[in-house]
Amino acid sequence: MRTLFTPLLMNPCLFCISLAASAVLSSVLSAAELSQQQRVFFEKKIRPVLVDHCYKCHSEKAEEVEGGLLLDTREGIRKGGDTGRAVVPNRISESLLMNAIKHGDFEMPPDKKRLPDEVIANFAKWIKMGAPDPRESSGKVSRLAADKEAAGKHWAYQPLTMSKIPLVKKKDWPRGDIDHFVLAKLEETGLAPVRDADRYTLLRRATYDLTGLPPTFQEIENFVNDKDVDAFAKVVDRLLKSQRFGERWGRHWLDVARYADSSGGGRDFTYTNAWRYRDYVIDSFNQDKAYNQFVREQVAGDLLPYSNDDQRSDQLVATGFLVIGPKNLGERDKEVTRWNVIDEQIDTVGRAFLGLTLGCARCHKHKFDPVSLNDYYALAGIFSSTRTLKKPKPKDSMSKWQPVPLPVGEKEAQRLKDEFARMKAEAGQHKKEALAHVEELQQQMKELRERTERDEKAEVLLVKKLVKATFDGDSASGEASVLGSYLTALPMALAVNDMEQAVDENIRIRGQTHTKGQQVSRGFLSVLMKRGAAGIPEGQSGRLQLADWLTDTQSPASALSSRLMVNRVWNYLFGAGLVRTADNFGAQGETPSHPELLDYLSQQFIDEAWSVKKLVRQIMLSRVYQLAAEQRDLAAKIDPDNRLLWRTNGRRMDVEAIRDSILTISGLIDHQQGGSTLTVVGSLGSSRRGYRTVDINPYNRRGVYLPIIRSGLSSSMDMYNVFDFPDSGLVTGRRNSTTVPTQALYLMNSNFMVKNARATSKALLQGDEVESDSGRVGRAFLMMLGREVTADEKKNSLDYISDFEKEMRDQGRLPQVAREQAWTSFCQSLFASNEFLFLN
Amino acid sequence: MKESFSRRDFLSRSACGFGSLALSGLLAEQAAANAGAGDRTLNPAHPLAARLPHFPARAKRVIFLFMRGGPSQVDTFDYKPALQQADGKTKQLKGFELQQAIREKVPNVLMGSPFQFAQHGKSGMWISELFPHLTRHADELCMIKSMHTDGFDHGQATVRLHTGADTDVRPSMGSWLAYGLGTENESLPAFVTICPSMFGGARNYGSAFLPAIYQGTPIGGADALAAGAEISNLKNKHISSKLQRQQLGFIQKLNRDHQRRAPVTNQLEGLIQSFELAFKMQAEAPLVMDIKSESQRTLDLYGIGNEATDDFGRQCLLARRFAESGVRFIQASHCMRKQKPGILNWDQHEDLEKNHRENAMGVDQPVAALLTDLKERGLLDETLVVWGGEFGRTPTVQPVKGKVGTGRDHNPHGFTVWMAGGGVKPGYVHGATDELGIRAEKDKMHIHDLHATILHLMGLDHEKLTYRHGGRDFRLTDVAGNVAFDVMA
Repeated sequence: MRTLFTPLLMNPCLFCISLAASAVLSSVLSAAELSQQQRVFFEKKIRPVLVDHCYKCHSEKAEEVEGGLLLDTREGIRKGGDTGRAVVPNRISESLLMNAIKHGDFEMPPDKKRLPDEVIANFAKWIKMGAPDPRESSGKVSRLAADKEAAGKHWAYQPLTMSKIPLVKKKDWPRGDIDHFVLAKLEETGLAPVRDADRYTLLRRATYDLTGLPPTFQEIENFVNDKDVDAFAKVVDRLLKSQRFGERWGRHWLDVARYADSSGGGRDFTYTNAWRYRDYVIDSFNQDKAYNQFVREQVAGDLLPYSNDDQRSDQLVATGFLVIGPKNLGERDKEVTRWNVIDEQIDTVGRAFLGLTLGCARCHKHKFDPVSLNDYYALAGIFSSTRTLKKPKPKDSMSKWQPVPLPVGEKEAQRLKDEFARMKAEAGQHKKEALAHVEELQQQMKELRERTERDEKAEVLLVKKLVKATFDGDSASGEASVLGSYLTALPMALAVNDMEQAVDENIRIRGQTHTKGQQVSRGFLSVLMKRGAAGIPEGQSGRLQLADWLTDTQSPASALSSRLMVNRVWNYLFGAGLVRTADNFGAQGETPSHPELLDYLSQQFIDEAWSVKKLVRQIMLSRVYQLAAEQRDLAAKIDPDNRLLWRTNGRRMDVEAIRDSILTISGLIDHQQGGSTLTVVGSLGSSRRGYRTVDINPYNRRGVYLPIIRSGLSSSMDMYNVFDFPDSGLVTGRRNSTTVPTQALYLMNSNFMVKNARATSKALLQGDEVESDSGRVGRAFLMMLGREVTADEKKNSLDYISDFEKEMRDQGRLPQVAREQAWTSFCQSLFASNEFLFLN
Repeated sequence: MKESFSRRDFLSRSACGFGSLALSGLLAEQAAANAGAGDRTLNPAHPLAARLPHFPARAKRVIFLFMRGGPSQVDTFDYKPALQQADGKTKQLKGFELQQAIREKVPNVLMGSPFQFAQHGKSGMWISELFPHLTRHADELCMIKSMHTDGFDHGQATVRLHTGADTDVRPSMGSWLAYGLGTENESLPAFVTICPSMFGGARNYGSAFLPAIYQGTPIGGADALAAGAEISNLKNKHISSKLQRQQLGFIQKLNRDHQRRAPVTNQLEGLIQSFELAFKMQAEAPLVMDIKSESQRTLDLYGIGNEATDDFGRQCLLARRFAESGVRFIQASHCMRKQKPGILNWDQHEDLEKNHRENAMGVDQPVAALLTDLKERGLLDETLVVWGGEFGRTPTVQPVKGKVGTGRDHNPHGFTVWMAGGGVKPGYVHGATDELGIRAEKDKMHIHDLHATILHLMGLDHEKLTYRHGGRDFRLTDVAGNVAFDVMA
C-alpha cells in the first residue's frame, strides 16, 4: 500500500505550514488532485460502506442529522460532528470515525455487529493515505450553522424590548400599566374581565400569597372596614414587611435551589450545615436583597468583596447553593463523583437562573436548544476549577464535601469549643450506658435460651427489646461518632472555593468520565455571549465572571435572568406564569402569553434595582391580581385555561401553606425562626444501624424549617408526601398540584389533623358560658375560611354538631367528651373542606 | 343525621374509581409533549385508568422480591467447579480496583463455595443446598446468570436497580409501570412496596417527576416487622366508621356548596371524588391485607408462624393477595436484621457460610410457597416474579485487617437474578459468568437490559415509554437497554 502514499502527504505538518493561513483541512486535496488509484480506492472500498451504513443518519438526506455529523461530503467528514473530527487525514488515532467503527467509545453502526475487520482495515488504510475524498461540499454543513443561528432567534435569547403601553377601550378599568397590557389582549379577543374579588377573598388571597398564612380576625376586620382608597396597598405593605414574607418566599426559592438537608444517594448523609443556607435565603427575601446580588452571591459569594465578618459569612453560606444538590457520595470512582457534581451544578445553574436544560449537553449537542458540547464543557471548566468536595484520599469509600469555617471572634470561638467538649463527654456517657444495656439483654437472652423448658413468648418479647436496644445503642454510638466526625465546634458552612489551579476541561465523549475529547476554554453559553472571549483572568475559576454574565445588564444573559425571575414571581401570585413552563424557557417550553408585558416587567425589574418586593407590590396592586374567581361561559369556551387572565385562577394551597395555616388556626404554631432542625446527623442509611429517620415530632414550626431528607421524609411529614412537595433532586419553579385519595385519607385520619382540630375546638369552646354555639360556628368560619358564615351553613353546622354529639352519647361517652369530640370533628371537617384548601 | 347525598350517586357519577382524579397544573408540559414524544397520553381525569400496552403483554403484573445486601451468585445458583478447585489460590481481580481488598493491597484469595450444589428438575438447574424448597420449582425458573451493574456501594447499586440511575433522581420501575399501564383495581394503589429497603429510601418507590399518583405506596418500613405493617393513615383511630360516614357527608356538603358558589377549577370535582375513593380504599385495603382469612395450610405453606420464615412469608403472602387484587407492581424486600439484629441481610463480608444460610432459610420456603400458590391459583402465567439483589459477591474472600477472612466483597460485574412466570422461558439459563464467576461474559445483561426486558414482558417498549420533564423525554432505561428476547417463552 505504500505505493499509494503521495510524497506530499508524507509530512502533513510541513504541508499545513506551507498552506499557512488557508490551512483548512478540507482543502488538503481537491478532487482534481486525487490520483486515479486514490479515487478507485475511495469509490470501491469507502464510499459504498458510508452509503450503506452511515448515510441514513449522517447525510444531507437524513431526516435528522445525528450528532451534527455529516459523512456525505469531504467537508463534513473532516469537520466532524459535536464530539470532534470524524476523519483527520493520516491520523488514525485522532479520527473518531475509526474509534466508532472499531467499537471504541462509540459503537457505529448502531445496534449492529461490528463491520467486518477487512472493512475496518480499509478505512485505516484510507486515512493513512490522507483520506483522499473526491466529494464536493453540498452546503449542508453551513446549513447546520444556519440552524444554529435560527435556534438563537428563539424569543428567550433576545434582548428586552420596551413596547408602548397599549391603549384600551375601557379606560376606567386599568389601575396601572399591567392592566393595560392585560385588558388590551382581552379586548382584542372580545373578552372582558370578571368583577373584582370581595374584600374577604382578596385579603385571604393576599395574605396567603405573601406569608403563606391566613389573616387574623383583626386583620380581616381592619381591611373590611377601611374606607381609604389605599386600603389594599396598606395591606400589601404590611405583609411585605412581615418576617413571614421571607419564610414564604424563601421557600419558593428553596424549591428552585433543590434545597435539602441531606445528600441523597444510597447512604444519604445529612448536610449538617445546610440550614444556614436556608436561613440566608429567608433573610435575603426579608431584606429585599437585590436579585442580581442574590444570584451573584450564590454563584460566587466566596469571591466577592466584603466589609465585615457578617457579610463574609453570608456570602460564603450563599455558595451552599452549589453544594446542596443530590449526590451519590458512595460512588467509589471519585473521578465519576467529581463529574457528577460538576454536571449537577451546571444543570442547576442552567435551570435555576436561565430556565435552560444545560445538562443535556453533557453527552451530546442539545437536541432543541442552541447548547453545544463546547458550551457545556466551557462551563464544566469553571466548576472543575471550583472545589466542592474534599480531595479524596486513595482509601476513601465515601466522598466528603468540604465544610468551610465561618469567621467568628476569638472569644466566641473559645466559648463554642468549650461547649462542644462538654457535649462530646455527655455523648460518650450515653454510648457507654446504651451498650451496657444491650449486653445485659443479651445475657438475659442467653439465660432464657438455656432453660430446659423454652418460653418462646418470652423469647420473642426479649428479641423485640433487644432489637430496640441495639438500635438505641447504635444511635447512641452514632451520636458519639457524629460529634467526633460530622460536627465541629466552630460554625461551618456548606460552601465552595476556588481550586489552587484553574483548568480548562476536555470534552468527555458521550459524557463518559474517562473518555476525553478536545479541550475547551472556560466560558459561558455562546448563544448568549457577545462576540469575544469570556474574559476569565488567568488563575481564576471563572465563577465570578459567570455571576457577572448572568446578571450584568451589559450581558445578553441578564435579559433571560430577569425574565425568568419575573415570570416566577408572576407564577407564585397567579398560580401560573406568563410562561407556564416556569422552569423551561428553551425551545421545548411554552411561549409567553403576554410577551410585551413580560419584557416590560423584566426591564422594570432591572431598572428598579432588581427589587423583588417592588415587583410583587406592583403586580398585586394591579386590578388583574384582584379579580374574582367567577365563571363566564363565553370566556371559558374561548380561553379555558385563562391564559388571557379574564379571572383569577383558583388554586389549591401548597403543603406548607396548608400545614402552617392549620397550626396557626389551632394555635399550636411555633414561630421560632432559623436554626438547625435535624435530630440526627451523619449517614442515614448504613447496614449497621439500619435506616434512620429524621423525626420532626417535637416541632410545630413552620414548614420551611422542617428537615428535608432526600431518601425519605419522616413519617411525621406524610403530609409532604401526599400534597405534592417537590422532589428535592429537581429544580422546581412551579409545583404540581395533584388530587389523590391519600390526601383525603390524610385529612380524615392522620394524627396531625385530629390533634389540630382538637386544639382548635378547645379554643372555640373556651369561655363556654359567654358565647353561643351559633357564635362559635361563625367564629370558626371566619378563622378557617376567612369569611362570614351564611345562615344555611350555620344551621347545617349546628345540626351536624348536635347529631354527632348525640351519637357519641348514645355510644356511652360522657357529655363533656361527646361535646368536645363533636366540635373537633366539625373543625376537622372545615380543615378538610375544599374551601379551606383552595385559594380563590 | 340524614345522609345528605347518595354514595351510589357519587360512585356512578365518577364511574372510574380510584383512577378518577383531576390533575391540574402539572400536565402543561406533558400536554405539549403528547403530540410528539410521550406516547402515554394521560387523561388528567383518569390518570390511573388501565391503558393498553404497546403490544400484547406476556405478564399483567410484577412481583419483585428484593434481596438486599447482594446474595453471592457462586453460593446460590451460579455453580463454578473451577472455583471449587481453585479454592485458596491467589487471583488478582481486574476491574475491582475500587474494592476494599485491592485498595488495602492485600492479595485476593479465591474461596470455593462452602455449599453443596446439585442439579434439579428436568432442566438440570444448578441450585445450592441453600434453597431446598425452591428446588421443586427448578423447572419454572428462568435464571439470568450474566447480570451486571454499576457501582460498588449498596446505596448506589440499590437505587440503580430500582430507578436505573443513582445521582439523578428518576422514577422507579414500579412508577413507570403504573404510568405506562394504569391499574386493574380502582380501589387500591397501582404500586405497593412492602417493608421497603433502607438504602435510597423513598427513591426506590418514588415517582420523581412523574405525577405523584404513580408513586409506590409503602406498607410498613425498612426495619419494621411485616406482621404490623400497614398503610399510613388508612385507619381512623378516633371515631367509629358510622361517625366518619357522617363526617364525610358533612364535608361533601360543604364542598358541593363551595363548588356551586365558586367554580374555580375542575380540580374541585376531583377532590370531592377523592374523598369517596379514599373511603372505599379504607374499606378494601385492610381486607386485602388481612391474612387471617387464609387457611392454615396456606399459612403453613409460607412458613408463617415459624420464626425464621414468618416475616418474609407474610410479605410473600401479601404479595400474592395484592397480585390477586389487581395491583400492577408489588415489591417485597427481605430484611434479615429484623429477626437477627446482628446479621446484615445478604451482605456477608464475614461469616458467609453461617449467615447466607440464615438469609436463605428466611426466604427459601416463602418464595417457593409464592410460586406454588400463584400456580395453584392460575396466576403464575400472568405474573412475572423477579428475585435478586443489587449486586453479587466476589469469588474471592474478603480480607479482614490484612488476613484471610470468611466472607466476600461486593461484585457489580457479575451476579444472578432469576425470573419466573409471566412469559419467561421456564427451566432456562440465560448468559454466564466466566469460569470463576467473577464477571458476566456471555449474553451480558445490564440493569438497563433487565428493565427493558421487564417492560417488554409487560407489553411496553422501553424506548417509547417516555415522559417529558424539563424539556426532555425521559425513560426508565435512559439512553441504554436491550431487550433479552432469549428469555421469553
